[in-house]
Amino acid sequence: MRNYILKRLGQMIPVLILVSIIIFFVMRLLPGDPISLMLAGAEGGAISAERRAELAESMGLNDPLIVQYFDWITSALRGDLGESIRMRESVSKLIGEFFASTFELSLVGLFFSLSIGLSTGIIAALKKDSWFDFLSMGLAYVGISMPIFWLGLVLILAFSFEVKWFPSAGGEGLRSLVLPGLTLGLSSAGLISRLTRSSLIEILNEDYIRTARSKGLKEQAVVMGHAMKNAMIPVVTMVGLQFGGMMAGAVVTETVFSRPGLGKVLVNGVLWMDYPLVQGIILFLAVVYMSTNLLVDISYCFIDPRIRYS
Amino acid sequence: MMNKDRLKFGVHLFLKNKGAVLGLTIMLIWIIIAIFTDFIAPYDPYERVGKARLAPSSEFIMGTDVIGRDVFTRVLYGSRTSLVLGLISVSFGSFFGIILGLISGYNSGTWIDTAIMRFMDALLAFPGMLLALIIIASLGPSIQNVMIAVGISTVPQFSRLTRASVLSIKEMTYVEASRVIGATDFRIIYKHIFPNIVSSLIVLATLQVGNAILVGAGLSFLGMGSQPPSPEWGLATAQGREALKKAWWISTFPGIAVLTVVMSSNLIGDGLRTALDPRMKYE
Repeated sequence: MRNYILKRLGQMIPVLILVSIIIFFVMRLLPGDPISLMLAGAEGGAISAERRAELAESMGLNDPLIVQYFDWITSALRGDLGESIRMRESVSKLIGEFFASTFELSLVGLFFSLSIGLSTGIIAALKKDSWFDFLSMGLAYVGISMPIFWLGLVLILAFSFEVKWFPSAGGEGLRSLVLPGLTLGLSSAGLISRLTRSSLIEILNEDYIRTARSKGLKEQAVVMGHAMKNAMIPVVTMVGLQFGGMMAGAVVTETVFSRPGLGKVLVNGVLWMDYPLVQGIILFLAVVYMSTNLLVDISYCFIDPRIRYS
Repeated sequence: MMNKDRLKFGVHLFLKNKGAVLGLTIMLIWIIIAIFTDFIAPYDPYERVGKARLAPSSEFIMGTDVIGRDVFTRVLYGSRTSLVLGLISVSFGSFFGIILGLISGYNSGTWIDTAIMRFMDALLAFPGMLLALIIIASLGPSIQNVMIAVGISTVPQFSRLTRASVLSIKEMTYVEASRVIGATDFRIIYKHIFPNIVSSLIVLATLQVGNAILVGAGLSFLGMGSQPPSPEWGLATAQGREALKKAWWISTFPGIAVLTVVMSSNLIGDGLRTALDPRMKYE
């Protein structure tokens, strides 16, 4: 198993290098120039050519791109992602400050997506072709196709304006996390529900399930003990992908609910064309996403013994 | 290659699928609306035709927006942007994806294949709309750039699917036979490989159209796509956000429009997948 984990880690490195190259070079296609941007607010816009040259030199913008890339990536490896042009703060510090709230939101999103997705998926599979199956799969379809920003607004309308159960924006504590968490979790709940259903239905037709039933096991033991464990393998992959995706989905959710978080900072970064900020956050999120997927792959070793021994 | 009977059987399977037919109907309605909006829409999408934030009534069936434009008219006009966005970005993504996938699969095991596939892995390492976000950050916010960004983020899916299909087909005896009698690479790809992968590509493309529209609307909602006064749905939803408490209709209807288009493209995609699945027997 250790070999498997090491192999997977090894495969991650070239992809990570390519990811950093893509981020860096795409950002350098930037048509605007960062110095004008940086000075637009601060020094009234009008600056001398010397001051401009001085700044470009100090920011390393005169070096060849390849040198700039190596400077950036070596600093990034040391945890220094540069300084945000607009916010005048270290990008690493900003990430540290805002990541916790995005992570928290993603966890709540994951909680909703798992609890709703798994329970409806299991019931739908066990009661295949019933009205529950029909209704929940229809709703799952709507969930998958729903624009996340719109869902957020609809939830605000229903649960903070009509009945005043939850706050519509910002706020502290668990109550303020319910609506953003639901917004983030519902579309992936749809995916998980559909996948759980189809996976479980397939497994329930296997011979070993018939054996388990014929030796007189209770239905609950058949489903929970035999079927679920095997049906969960594709679902776990999906959950891993979804969790990583949720941190990115937080971009929209945090904007809708005016929640401070990495997503909101990233959106502002893009609109301000603040490239150190954008490339830093995106690099960070890509690393988090890839690590989550790695963890999921490793977790297979525990769920599926076939992988452990191969 | 798909013969006539198989095609007929596929159509039969598709039409038997209620969801797929529903999806196709909704999509056709939207396409008709997009083409004939000028004749259907009751007002001008950019002009103030009433007071701001009028509730839905017989005069304005979806009410008026924050500055008094007709929401219904704007929802109808918005269909153009979204459908064009879906179509163009997926055409763009599938074009480059298929070419890269063909090159990669046809030269499997060489450094070209490795280079292309590692690059695709790297593109897939960006979760959700983040890849689109950095492209927008670098090109600037506009609906054209959203199309490019969304298009690029669909390239890896197409190239992977194409490569996998090419790998399984190129070892077939008839492809080898064709090579033996001296067919060029281009001819082999065009005559033998492409027709075999076209149905799975169509399924993927259909599903990607919905996704592209969803991501595109999301980017516009964030202010990175269509700019005012465009009636684009994501932007329109964002504009109604401030007035949500007093005028729910401004944000609600454009959002429902996105939902229906995306859902119809997902339904059609799923229907096509079943209909074109070669495992479905028709003896």
